[in-house]
Amino acid sequence: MSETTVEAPVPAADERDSRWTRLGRRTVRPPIYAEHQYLVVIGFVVLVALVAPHIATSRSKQFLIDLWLVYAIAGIGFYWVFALAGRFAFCQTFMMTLGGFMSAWVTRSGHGKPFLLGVASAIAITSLLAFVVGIIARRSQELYFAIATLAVTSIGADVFNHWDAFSGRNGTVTNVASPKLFGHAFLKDKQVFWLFLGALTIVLLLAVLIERSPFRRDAIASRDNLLVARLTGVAAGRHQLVLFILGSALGGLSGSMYAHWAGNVSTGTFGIDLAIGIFLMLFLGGVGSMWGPVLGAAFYVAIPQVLSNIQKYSSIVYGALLLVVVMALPRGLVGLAQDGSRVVKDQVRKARRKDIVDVAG
Amino acid sequence: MEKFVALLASGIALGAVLAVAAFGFLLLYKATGVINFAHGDLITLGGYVALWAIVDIGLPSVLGYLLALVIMFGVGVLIERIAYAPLRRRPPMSVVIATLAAAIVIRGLIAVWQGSTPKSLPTPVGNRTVHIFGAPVSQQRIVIIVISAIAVVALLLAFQRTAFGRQLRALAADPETAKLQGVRTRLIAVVAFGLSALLAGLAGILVSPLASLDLDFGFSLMISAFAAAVLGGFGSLGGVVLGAVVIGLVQQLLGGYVFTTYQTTLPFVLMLAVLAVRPQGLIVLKRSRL
Amino acid sequence: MLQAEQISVSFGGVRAVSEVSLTLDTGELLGLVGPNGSGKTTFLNAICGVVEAQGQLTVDGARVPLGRPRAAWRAGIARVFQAPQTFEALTCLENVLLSSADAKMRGVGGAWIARPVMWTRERRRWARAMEALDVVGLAPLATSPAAMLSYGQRRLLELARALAGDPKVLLLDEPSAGLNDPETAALADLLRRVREGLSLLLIDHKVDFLDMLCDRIVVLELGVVIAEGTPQDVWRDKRVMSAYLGVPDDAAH
Repeated sequence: MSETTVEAPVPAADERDSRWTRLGRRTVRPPIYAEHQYLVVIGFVVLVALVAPHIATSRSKQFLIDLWLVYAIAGIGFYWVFALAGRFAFCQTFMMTLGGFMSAWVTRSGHGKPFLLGVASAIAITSLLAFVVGIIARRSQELYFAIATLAVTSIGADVFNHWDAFSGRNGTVTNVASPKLFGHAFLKDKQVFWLFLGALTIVLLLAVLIERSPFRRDAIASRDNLLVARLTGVAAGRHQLVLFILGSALGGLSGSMYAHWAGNVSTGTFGIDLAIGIFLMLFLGGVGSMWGPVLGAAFYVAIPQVLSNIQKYSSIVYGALLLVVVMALPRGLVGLAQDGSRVVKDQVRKARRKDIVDVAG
Repeated sequence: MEKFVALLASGIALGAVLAVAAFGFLLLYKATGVINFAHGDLITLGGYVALWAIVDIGLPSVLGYLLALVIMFGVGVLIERIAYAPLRRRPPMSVVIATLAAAIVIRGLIAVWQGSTPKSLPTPVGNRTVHIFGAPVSQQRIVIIVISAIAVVALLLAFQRTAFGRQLRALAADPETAKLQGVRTRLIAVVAFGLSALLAGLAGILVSPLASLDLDFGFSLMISAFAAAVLGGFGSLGGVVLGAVVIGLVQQLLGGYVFTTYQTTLPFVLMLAVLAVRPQGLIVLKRSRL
Repeated sequence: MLQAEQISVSFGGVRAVSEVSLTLDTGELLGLVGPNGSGKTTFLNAICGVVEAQGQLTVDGARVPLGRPRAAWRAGIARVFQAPQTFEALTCLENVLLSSADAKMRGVGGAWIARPVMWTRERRRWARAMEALDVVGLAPLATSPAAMLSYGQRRLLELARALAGDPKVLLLDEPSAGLNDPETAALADLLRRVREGLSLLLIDHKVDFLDMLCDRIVVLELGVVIAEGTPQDVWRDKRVMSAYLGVPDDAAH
């Protein structure tokens, strides 16, 4: 007698896990590789490219969009240093200032070096300085590291204010050349927008490359428990130093971008308000994701505009907003978005399973 | 000789102010473990509140200062209620961010309230100077040294002698055991925040007649106070005073004679050198418990 | 295989471990016992570089510098802690991957420049890590966040992570603490399965557990070795009895 064969029902998503234990059938990999980060970057860039020109109805709005792009790059650098490496660094604005001055100095009318070289030198000098500071403060714990970077920022401000040859009289440099790429000069804010968007695209791709690599998990382990990470063979100190250098380099890049765009840079351009602001951007947007600073920078730049009639009180609004976010949304706006998308996915999955049950009868 | 005396006086005065500022910061850190990033802006706020009390309301200087100190204590308590108490169960990072939020709000308030043009705080001793060994020393500097010394000594005595001081030290040494032994952590947190803000305000009030009062003036003072805490040893209240005086002297003496242009950077370079050699500062903050 | 000579550890004025020497042969399972405060955990910490220590450590003939956790790992020493030290922000698989024996191409160079090479190595690392998870029975939870694991599962995760590094020496600190009898038996079974080609140094208190597994036992008291030998010999040793019970052997009366 033969038994009727029963068709195995399509296993629901959470039942498929048991197949993975049979090795060789299907490689199991960390879930982060299953996310479609490249698509998100492309989608984001395309969206901005399409939407931004429509939002930029006035000169001031275009200015804010360009400023957002600059801050987003600096913010991603800060994400690498603070969120991924766990280093309490207060010197991102110093790196921006240094990058601005360096780039201005290299491309000055007397020297006449091209824009790209200015940017490259800004990145180089900030990387070098971050390396030095990172080595000096290498074994310092969070608070001391914060204090050391604060000290570096103060020293920097003082040096810039007095070193006329490099950073101008009273730490101000004007007449910085407009960005020029392959003979094409970016003179208007509208044109600069495309240049900056290109730069941000590259930075986002670099950030994704890090997310999708063993470097990310090694960095997180180094951040969360340096000693145990070392015990498991991770070169914890080195990862933290590398991320600090890379994050500072992004600070230098954004500083030089700003200097050429605005045409001037001074010690007050990236002052204490921005230093606090960068923290704010990261936490508002979400400290757990590379998109956090991008979102946070948009808010930082947009709020005074949105509340234009109470612009005087914008700082107070920021502070209150930050407090609310800290209390209610520990993972920032990105966390909110992730929770939202997870709720949606769960609902979809439940609906699909219901369909399967209905079909199977 | 005169130059030396003048510089010595300013060095000690600067050290005294830094000691008061650092004391406030360290006191809060020891009592609650909180790193208050709004401390610098509280220093600025102290100066501005005193300015308001004296110039806008018209109180005589000393009364104005006292009122400002009382208000600063209240501000500290307010910060504790809003940015600390509700976040007790959260990871420590939340409180740090909350203090940053407080900093943003305070800066915004000052900007709206007083504008951003630098102002100057009147003082009962005015611009009068006193001559020590032939060198003109601003009387304000003498005032600073005397008042700071009184404040620091009073606080040190309070920590050693009073019940509150004992509880604070117990809490700083071992929070869990202290709580089990009935130390009133909540009350101590409130008082610590208030006292810390008061000390910040005092530092601001003492120094602003000599410098001009603007939005960032407290922040730079706070960084120097941090450096003092690192040099003198983060665990030790007495050490902080020593570190502060060292910084003041280094900046004024070394800066006055040798590196005149870059004198404000000297203490920081010194501090970085110390950190490079002894990365845990002079006292270890955490110990691994594996 | 592992030779520890005159290991001493001091904290402030207290000597937690005082000139302890022991030898661990290849494939041997050595138990380290002693009353509380006898320095067992500190000794383990010294061996894997967590604390500063004096003395000499040799693994497979090569000197291992003390006080350097990474050097210990490179020498083939893997550590499992009494309180599991897992990384909550990572998934189980990622936790295990941290200790992958293949440590190349894991930095920015691999992420930004030599990606194809990085991928090839990654795939191999994933497979090896899954094997380690499979051995301890956590394979179904590979892609779950480590934060979701129970206490016992975290211990197993730590063990998987230690195994993924292809260690020569495995240091275990009270692995059976908090486990009931069936769980303890399962753990003993697991340890027996993994000890192929490994040397194990095991701290524990449960006598049956130790008897099941250990080839030899070393007894510490107040940072000093007071007895050494097979389990039967050691449990009969008078010094060991008095160390644990605190009374001389006229308790027999």
